[in-house]
Parts: sequence; C-alpha cells; structure tokens
Amino acid sequence: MDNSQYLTVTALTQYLKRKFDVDPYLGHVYLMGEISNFRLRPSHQYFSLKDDKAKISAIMFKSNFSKVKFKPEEGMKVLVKGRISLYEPSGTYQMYVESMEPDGLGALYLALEQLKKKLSQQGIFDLPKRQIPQFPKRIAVITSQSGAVIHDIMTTVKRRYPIVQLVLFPAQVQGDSASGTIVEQLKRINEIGNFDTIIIGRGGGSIEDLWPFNEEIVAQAIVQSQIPIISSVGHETDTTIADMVADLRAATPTAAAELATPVLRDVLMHIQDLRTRLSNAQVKLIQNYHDQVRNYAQNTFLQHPERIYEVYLQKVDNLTSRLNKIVSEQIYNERQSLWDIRGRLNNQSPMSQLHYYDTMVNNYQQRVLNSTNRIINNNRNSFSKEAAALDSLSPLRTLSRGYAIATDDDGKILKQVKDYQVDQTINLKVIDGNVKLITKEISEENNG
Amino acid sequence: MAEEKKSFEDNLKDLEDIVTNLENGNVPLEEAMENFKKGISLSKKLEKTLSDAETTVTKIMQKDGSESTLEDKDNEGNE
Repeated sequence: MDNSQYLTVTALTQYLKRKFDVDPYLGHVYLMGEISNFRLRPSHQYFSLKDDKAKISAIMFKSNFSKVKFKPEEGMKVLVKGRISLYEPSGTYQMYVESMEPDGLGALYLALEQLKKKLSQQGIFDLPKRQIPQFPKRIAVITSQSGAVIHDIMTTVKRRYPIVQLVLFPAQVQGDSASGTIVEQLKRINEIGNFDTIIIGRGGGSIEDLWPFNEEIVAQAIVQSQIPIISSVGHETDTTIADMVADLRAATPTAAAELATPVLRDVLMHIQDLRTRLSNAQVKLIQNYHDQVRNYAQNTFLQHPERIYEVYLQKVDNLTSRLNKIVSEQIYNERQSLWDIRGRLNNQSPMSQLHYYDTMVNNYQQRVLNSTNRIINNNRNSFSKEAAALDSLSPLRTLSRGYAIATDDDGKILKQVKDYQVDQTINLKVIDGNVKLITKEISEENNG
Repeated sequence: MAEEKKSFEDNLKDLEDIVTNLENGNVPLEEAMENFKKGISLSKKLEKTLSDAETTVTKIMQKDGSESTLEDKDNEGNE
C-alpha cells in the first residue's frame, strides 16, 4: 500500500461529520437525560447528558440558552431537543441542544420556583412595604393600552374618585420584550416623579402569558421604585413575583383601583362627620365647663360664704376664751403674788417702829409735861407767896380797910380836888362794889 | 401659613386628631377654642380641596414624553 491509500485525520473526521449531519434522524433528536458536569458559563454552555449506562457531551449556544427560563442544575432531569454533530478539533461527537425543558414540572414553573427561592434568599420579599397614599392626586398605570385593565381602572376611578389624574404608561404585557417595556416604564415614572401611586396590571392568562411579571428585572424594578406600587396580574389564583414584591396586591384591576383611591363621597362625608363631631365635642366641652362653673357656683362655700370663716370664727372664739382664761389666771396669779408681796411688805412696815417711836415721844412728852408742871407748880407756889406778899401791899387791902377809889366816867382816877367838879357823877370803888355819887361841894384844905 | 404645605392626608390626620382630642375632653377651654377654630378651618379647607378638584380625564404618556387624552373604550363593551 502506498501512502495515497491513507486518509488524513481531517478527511476522516470530515467524512464522519458529514455522516452525522446528513443523517435524517440525528438532525432532530429528542433526548431525555440527566444533566452532568454542568457549570454556568458566561456564554455557551458545555455539559453532559447521561443515564445509567451511557453519556453524551452537549453544548448549548448562548442564543438558545438565553431562552431557557429555568436554571439548569447538576443532576436535573431534562428533556432536550437538538441535533447530533461532530466537533472536529476534538474529535468528539456531541449534542447541540436547541431547547431544554425540565422533566416533570414545566420549565416556567420550575423557573418561577427558582426565582422565588433566589429572591427570598436576597430578602426581597421581606422588604418593608411602602404605604399606599390614601388621597392620591396622580396615579400611573402600567398596562396594555388595548386591554381591559385600563378600562376597568378608569371606570372604577371615575366612579369612586374622579378627581385623581390617571396616566397610562403603555407597556407590552406578554411576550419576550414585555419585561423590558415594563421595567422601562417603571423607571420613567420614577424619573418623572410626581405620581403618588403606580398600578401595574394585566388580565388573566397562562403562566407563559404572565411570565414577564415573573422576571427578575421586573421584580427588581418594582423593589427599586420610589413610588408605591399596586400589582394586579392575572386572576386571583395566579400569584406572580410582581404581585409578591409589590407594595400591595390586588386580585383584579378593579380591586387595584379601589385600593388606590378613596370614595370621594365618603371622604366628603367623613370630613362633614368630623366637623359635626368637632362641633358636638366643642358643645359638650363647653357644656362641661359650664356645668363645672355652675357646680362651683352652687358650692356651699360660695352660697354661704360665711361658712368659710365659720370655722375661723369658732377658732377665734376658742382662742379668745382661752386668752381670757389665761389672762384671768395670770391676773389672778399676779394679784396673788402682789398680795404676797404686799403681805411681806406689810411685815416689813415701819409702823411698829413708828409706834415705838410714838410711845417714846409720848413718854418723853409726859415726862416733859410732868417736869414742866412741877416747875410751874413750884413757881406758882413761889408766885402765891409773892402774890400774898404783894396782896398785903395792894390798894385792895386798903379798900378793905375802908378806903375808896374815885373815878370819873372815863375811868380817870380822881386824886385831887381840882379833878372834881360840882354835880359830877363820881364812881366810887369800894371793897365790895361801886357807888355812884354826885358832888355837892368842893372844899380845898391847906395843909401843906 | 406653614400648614399650606401639608398634604391632604396630614391635614385630615390633624383634623381627626383634633376631633378625637376634643371628644376625649380634658382640654383646657382656651386650647379647645383654638383647636375648634383650627378644626373647622381644616375641615373647610379639606372639603374645598376636594370640591374644587375637577374631574379629570385619563391621559396616556407617549414615548416622546407628551401626554394625550386616552379614550375609554366603554362603547366597545370590553370587559
């Protein structure tokens, strides 16, 4: 054999590859297997599919893999569709996977569960819910322009609270590009900013129809919104991730509109009711104060002000009598001690001394008197003797011997003849009386 | 007045607080009169806000940022 009979590796490989590629069966293979050696790569995915006895390499290009809603995992049973071909550089045949479904559960269902688990781990479901404003002025609605959702919301709002401004931000609500438009509108509303509430809505549908509302970018956009969001996606039994992360979930678009708005008439009635209550409360309050004032006015002390000082009066009385008593006692005591002192003073009186001195004086007086009397008596005796002596010499003795003393009416003693006149009344004093004489004749003798 | 800047909710809350407060009694008379006046004025203002607000027509936000009126499809019997 010469060399020309030998094939090159390339030639053989090309031949084998061609066998795979033109094979009527290997071009469309439906394969069931378990994922093995799977590790998520940035672009194309390389892994194996195996069962108990065999194994086949598999590749899934980025374009195809991006359509896979769930996240393939090691050991996961999957149903794949694709073709078998040969990769020349490594000489391996492999399955070029075009689509992949989880075996058993639907892919979307699985994807939903996976995303729920992931978001739950991130704590997104536990984030605090924003309060839906009670009295919104502007509400943004993200939904299809043509669907029933916007109609229901408009009708409900018109009925309940027609003064709110509804603004529709049209978005696709199904299909691959729906999530993008929803996210875009959410961002736009937040950029515009002057909205109080956002309603995201979509009517009912299959899990595929509702899928955009289960996508992570939508969930993230809802979480990041500064404006509170009410979500109403699908029917009441369908719960999408959008519903779970929204601040409030409504079963239907009508319910969403009801949650977003008050009933204007009720609000007005409430305000009027408040005003009535305010007035009643005020009246009652004033009445209470009034009653209080009246109660106080009827208070015993105000009615009988004297009772305020009755107590004091009594007290004053009491005190007065006590004072009197005390003062009396004191006066009594003082008097008592005055008497004591007076008694003692009396005891100390100089009267006895005076009496003594009096007695002394009397005594002395008596003695002086006695002495004096004696002296007088002595002198009187002497005097009597002298007087007797004198008496013998007295004219009266002469008279007793018969002599008389003649006097005129003036008492002038008439001694000589010339003292006499005829017919003159002469008084003659004799020893035992007086005699009146009238002179008859005067005769003078010359004897001498 | 600073109150002008308060939202409808805040004003309503203020009014409710005033009413509750007065209903509970035990408010000094001067304060009660003051609150009563404030409450009445708040209630009138709130009522006026609602009464003065005009019924709006739903708008649609176009891609270019312009708003146009959205026609409701009531006539189409869509539900």
